[in-house]
Amino acid sequence: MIGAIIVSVLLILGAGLVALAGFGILRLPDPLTRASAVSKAAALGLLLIIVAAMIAEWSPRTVLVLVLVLIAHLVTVPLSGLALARASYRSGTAKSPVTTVDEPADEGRV
Amino acid sequence: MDVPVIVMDIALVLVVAGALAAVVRAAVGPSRADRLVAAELGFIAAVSALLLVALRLDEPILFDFALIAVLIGFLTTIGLARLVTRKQSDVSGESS
Repeated sequence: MIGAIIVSVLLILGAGLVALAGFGILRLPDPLTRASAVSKAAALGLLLIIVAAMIAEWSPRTVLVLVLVLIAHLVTVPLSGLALARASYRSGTAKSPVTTVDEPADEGRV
Repeated sequence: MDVPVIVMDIALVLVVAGALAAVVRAAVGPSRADRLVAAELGFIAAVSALLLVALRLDEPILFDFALIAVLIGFLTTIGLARLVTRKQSDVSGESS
């Protein structure tokens, strides 16, 4: 009973974070902020859903597979977030009037 | 464990809302980088929906597909990011 409640809360929170990332990708002004919204909110959302599935289907084989999914996700999300932001910046279309700090251009290593 | 079915249905609707937002941004997004970010969100929503469907149907074999999907999605994102970087810097030719 208490496990079902925990799993329900984790599922709703995780799916809500994925929906929040969708809201962010529609509302934020330029590709850098959109990449930030996706790589933080959606990554944590998928993490919560994986943990909820791990608690709900508690058997050794399932937990082993889900731990592998968790590790693969945790290792790859920062790298793909960096690749997204770098591609947005290097393609030259990432400037919004709201974005004022531009450290690579200030330091002359564009 | 008996998680209520309505909870999984609500979670699926929320995930699909995120995926629809990604589709809208991929359709209207003014630059290639916007479409790349939208593809990343669509991938994460797809993996989340796969896990939710595995819970909803009580089919643990679908979790294996989630493992493969996470690894392939990472490679796809890296490759598309390289492609976006090279294409537009070749076309525009200026670096600031």
